[in-house]
Amino acid sequence: MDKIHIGLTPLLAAFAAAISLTAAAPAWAHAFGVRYDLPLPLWLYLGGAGLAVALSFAVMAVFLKGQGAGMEEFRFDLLALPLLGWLGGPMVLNLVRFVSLAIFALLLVAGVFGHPDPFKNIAPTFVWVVWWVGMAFVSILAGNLWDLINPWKIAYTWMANYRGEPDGTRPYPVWLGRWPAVLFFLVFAWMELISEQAEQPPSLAMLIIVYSAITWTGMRIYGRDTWLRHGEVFAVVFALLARFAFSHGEAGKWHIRLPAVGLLCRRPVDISGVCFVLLLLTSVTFDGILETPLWAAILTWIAESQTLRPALVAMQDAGVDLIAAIKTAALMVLPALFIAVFAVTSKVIAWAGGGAAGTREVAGYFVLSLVPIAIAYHLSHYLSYLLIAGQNIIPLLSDPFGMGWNLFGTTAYTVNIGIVNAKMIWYVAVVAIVAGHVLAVYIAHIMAVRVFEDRARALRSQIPMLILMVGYTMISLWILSQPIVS
Amino acid sequence: MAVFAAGVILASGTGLADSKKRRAFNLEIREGKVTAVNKTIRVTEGEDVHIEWVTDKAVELHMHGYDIHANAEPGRSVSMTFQAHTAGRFPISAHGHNHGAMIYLEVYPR
Repeated sequence: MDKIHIGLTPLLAAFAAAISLTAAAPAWAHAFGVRYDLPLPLWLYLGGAGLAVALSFAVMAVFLKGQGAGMEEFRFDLLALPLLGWLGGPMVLNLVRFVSLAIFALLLVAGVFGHPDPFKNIAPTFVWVVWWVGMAFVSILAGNLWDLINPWKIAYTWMANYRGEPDGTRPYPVWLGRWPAVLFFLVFAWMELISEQAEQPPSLAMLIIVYSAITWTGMRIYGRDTWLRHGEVFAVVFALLARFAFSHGEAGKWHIRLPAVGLLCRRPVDISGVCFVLLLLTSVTFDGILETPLWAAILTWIAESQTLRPALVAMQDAGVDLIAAIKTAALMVLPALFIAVFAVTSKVIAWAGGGAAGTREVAGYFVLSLVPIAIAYHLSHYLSYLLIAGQNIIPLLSDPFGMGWNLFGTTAYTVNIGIVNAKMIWYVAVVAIVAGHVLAVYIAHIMAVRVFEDRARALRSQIPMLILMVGYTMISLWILSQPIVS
Repeated sequence: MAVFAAGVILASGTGLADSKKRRAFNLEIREGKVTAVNKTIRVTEGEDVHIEWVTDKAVELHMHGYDIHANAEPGRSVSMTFQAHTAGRFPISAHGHNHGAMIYLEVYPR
């Protein structure tokens, strides 16, 4: 009874089967992820770019003078304050956990039994807007809330406590690293950016069920916390984003700290972790690229290309959705490209640093310093979407299953598209992008001083990193300056 | 003096003293696509916008954001009239098509 031989392979096969099953559901005419952002005007684009570059040199200059490091050690425990202590107590924490689990159950019920129209059912809006975008924002700004409210973690813990079962029947194979999370994230990114099925309530419910089975099985085999660190993809994503945040909670404490300092590390991230970070970063950028006129032009060029015509016709005859196929190819190619560029940059940094660390170690030490740039872009790209599409949750709360209820009297609520000023979004975007860039350069410099003992070498080693970061920031700004083309 | 007063009265009566502009656009849809080369209409926040549509086949139009619907049919034109109260870039698509806006309305902030 104890040694149930469940490998990962059948689980992954089940996952793949679930995806193919969901392809059968009908598609609805409305576009779920419509955004109304205006392209960034040229003067803001150029001004932001110039400021980012100028401030990068300012950061370098500070470090040249021998200053700059030390501030990252600052930490203050909010729960140490007399009136806030009870917030960390078991009663509050368990209440929050119960609410999270209840919402999880509600979404599952809505997906299975509720109205199949994604606009009449609470599940798609809650999962894709409030949770995926909203939770990312919360993780970025406030920290590791997901550690507390992860429904899979809560359900598993309460069930395991109740049944008194041992945690983890096998040790986690070291070579497996974070590769399961990498694989699951690739699948998730595909569903988020390319598939149209994941907006449909029944498909969404099916995906949640399959992922829950995989997660709980992984926890059962390898131990809850081990699986959360290596295989529960959302725990890995939100934990990564939470490293940027101003605050971090653990073991009854809630620390306030400087932004981005959580991205500093004492040991290099392993290869699977490096690939995970770069995959996440690429998917954030790819999301934006898919809406640019450049991408539309690429698709048109491919569709009209005479050389590719025979292959395309053959694929279409075989029933392949060509646009989805091209996007999928891009989703495979772009991360590989970014990994290659980062590998080359790491090699040059290692060489410039004088041998204190090899390419692999450098990659592992410095990959996290790129995260603020992606975070800044993510915040800029999604702020208005969160505030506008997020309003749809208000009428949906009164009629979660699309059955004509009006529980809280809000079904007549119409979305206010003027809730956030287009100009305000521009300014927030540029400030965020510049700030993200500066934080990235700052983090990389602290890491360089830690990794390469010789200060002069350390700063020289940052030149390739600076070039990479400036390039990455320029791409983010460029995407924001492009008119959105659906 | 009397000429000046008369001028002011005439000016306000004919709307020359009115600072808000009215923008009118005539768009034609053929074979499911808008014939205009520039797929973006630009107006400024606060302006009154009037879009007149003619089409060769019946099509249900939807302007996202402002959430304005119009049923265009061959033989008679249909219009969308509204005040551009919110800045942004709003796709106008044909209902029943999964992807692709036919044309975009860009409202620029003041």
